Amino acid sequence: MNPRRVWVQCCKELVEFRRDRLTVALAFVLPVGMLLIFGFAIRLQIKNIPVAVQDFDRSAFSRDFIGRINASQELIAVPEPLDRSPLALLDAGNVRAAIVIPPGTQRAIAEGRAAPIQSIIDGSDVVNALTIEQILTATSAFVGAGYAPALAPANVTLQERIWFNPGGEEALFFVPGVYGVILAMFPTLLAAIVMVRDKERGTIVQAYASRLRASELIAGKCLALECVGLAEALAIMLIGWAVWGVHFAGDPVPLLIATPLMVCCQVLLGLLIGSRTNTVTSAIQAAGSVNSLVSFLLSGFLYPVSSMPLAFQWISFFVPARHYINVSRDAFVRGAGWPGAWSEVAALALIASILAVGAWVPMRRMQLAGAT
Amino acid sequence: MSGVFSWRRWLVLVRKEFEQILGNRQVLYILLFPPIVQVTILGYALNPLIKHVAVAIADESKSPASRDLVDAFTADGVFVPHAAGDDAASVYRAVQSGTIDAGLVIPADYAATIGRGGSPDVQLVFDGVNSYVANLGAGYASAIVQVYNARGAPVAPLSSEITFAYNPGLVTAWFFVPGLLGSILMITGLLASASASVREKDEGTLEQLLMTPASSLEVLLAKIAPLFSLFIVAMMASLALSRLIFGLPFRGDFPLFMGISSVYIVAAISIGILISTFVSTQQQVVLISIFTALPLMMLSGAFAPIESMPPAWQTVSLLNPLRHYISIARDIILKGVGLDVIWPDVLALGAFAVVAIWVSATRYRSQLR
Repeated sequence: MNPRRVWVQCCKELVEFRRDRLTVALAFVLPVGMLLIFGFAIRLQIKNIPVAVQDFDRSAFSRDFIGRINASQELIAVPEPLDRSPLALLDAGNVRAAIVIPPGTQRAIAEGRAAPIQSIIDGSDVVNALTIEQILTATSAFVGAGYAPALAPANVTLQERIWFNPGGEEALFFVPGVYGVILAMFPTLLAAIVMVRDKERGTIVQAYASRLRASELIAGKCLALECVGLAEALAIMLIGWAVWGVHFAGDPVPLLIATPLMVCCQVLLGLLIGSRTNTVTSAIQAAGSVNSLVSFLLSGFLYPVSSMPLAFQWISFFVPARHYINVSRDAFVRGAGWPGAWSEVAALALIASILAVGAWVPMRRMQLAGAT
Repeated sequence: MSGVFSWRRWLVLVRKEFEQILGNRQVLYILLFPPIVQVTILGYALNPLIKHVAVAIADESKSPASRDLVDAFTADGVFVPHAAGDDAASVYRAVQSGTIDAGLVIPADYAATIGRGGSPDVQLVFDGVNSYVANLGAGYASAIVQVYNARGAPVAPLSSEITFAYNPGLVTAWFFVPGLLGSILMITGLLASASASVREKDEGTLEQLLMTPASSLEVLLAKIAPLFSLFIVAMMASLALSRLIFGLPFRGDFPLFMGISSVYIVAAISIGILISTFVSTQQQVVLISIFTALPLMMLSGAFAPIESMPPAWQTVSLLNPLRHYISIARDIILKGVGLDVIWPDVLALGAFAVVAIWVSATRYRSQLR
């Protein structure tokens, strides 16, 4: 590989990129816009979910029970007329659960007879359903204890502490994750288009006829796009710091190494897609829709990787965003540095080298015989 | 330009668009298979429940009583014990380094305190970096200890009998498939139509097309036709596969669902065409399409509940066609309810589709000026 030819190829790509003012603006404005939208809008903690309550008991107990539900601030109890069937309430879709407090509940509890409170939860939204179930179980245990004859005393006290993010600040969870998602998306798209556009316009033939080798062509394009990707990374991290105060919690070195590796992985993936597909439409579908969905959903950005079936945990090993998000969350929240991060950085390096070979192989015989 | 919509002219245009798409096998495969495969794979993989939470346990009491608590704690497989040393210090170190999700510390005097009839303190620390796992895990651990404490006690009179309507087993795929279906149709439809119409502009064939007597509405509807039929096929295949693999029920009116889905697909394709009228190169159109499609997906309730979003964003999301479509899809597929319940969403979606087609047809024509 001739470093000068790589450098010239890189400069050519950067000049081409810079000439298209609108694309330059989009390459920076869109990631920042996405960071702001996702950083502010994506939340997983549930608040103010309406649940219907049909109170047939109308006692001190039932008022207490309803008060306790409202106190959680996660659910809002909506009193409903007693003549409607609970399932019809759910069908109408205005409430996520229907709770029926049967007549005589308070008396039954005081006398130690079984007193079931019936709830039907809308299972069509599984995430909501799980939280509502947890809250209702805890509420009936808590309120029930106050009205029942003495139960056995609690004999184990669980002291729970949540470290690093004791307030459960959700921005601190999502913003470092969004960094990974953005870096998975934009560099790949730019790279795929750069590669396939050369092919569609036929300008790649000029490269075939020159002395440029495949490895030099890929290295040159990769270097240029790496610069763009790193500039994007810097921009979003500065915004993240300015808006949410997300800053380094400890040793920044793993992140400083992982970021260029991550951008490199995604750029190489884009070049690979570009060299394998023959039209812009297919390249865009592969680099745009498949890559972004996988980076979003199989990377642990939203729901933990450890909850997936084992086979998918293995597949997600090859998703660079998964490793990068782990490094990013460590650097900005935990601050532990290398002990937890080295394996992720190594995985990124491994994926980058696999992708480099993958991008080179289909191009390796690109030079016309006699061009050298 | 003639103002009347001519079916004959339109069919010729449709034939041209179909031949363009069918002429390229790669495009055909890439528009058809990834959506079908993604719905099933992601529907299978995504799981909002927490499982396999790695917990390091320091049992400093080393007594039958403490082993009993550890057994109760790890019995159902949500918390999986990982070796990280026997003392509290090494467990805390493991949590601090991020190699483990949680640490349970049972003090040395645990058995003795229980023997005296007291309440021993047990420490549970979570790595809060993943606040989702930490919050759910903390609630789950409290529930385990609550049950553990109540063992052997007389049955509490108040009980909570909970059933889940529509999805009694809480199969997560039933929840995710309608959302994935809508999301994937949105992102694929938007990208495909946007890039196809920019290409026409790039190659200069758009001028030729707009020079013909065909009205811009005819040209536009002809462009929509092949993508539309591809996505209808992809959607039916995804639903059939989900039924086979996850046992996804279809409780509602199938023709109603297909009708509403058609409106939705047309809306997604029109947004793509609308985007293409603002830009001139492939790179720009792709960047903007992805930038449009992903927030639409993430703020639609497909993956995380709408109710969790900040109130202002919940209001903004009323403008999101995907939000209405997913709500309709879940209502028809899982709940089996009809138009009497879903009409507000249908109305919103229909209004959106009409506006999207009208605006894109207007902009499409004015591109030449």
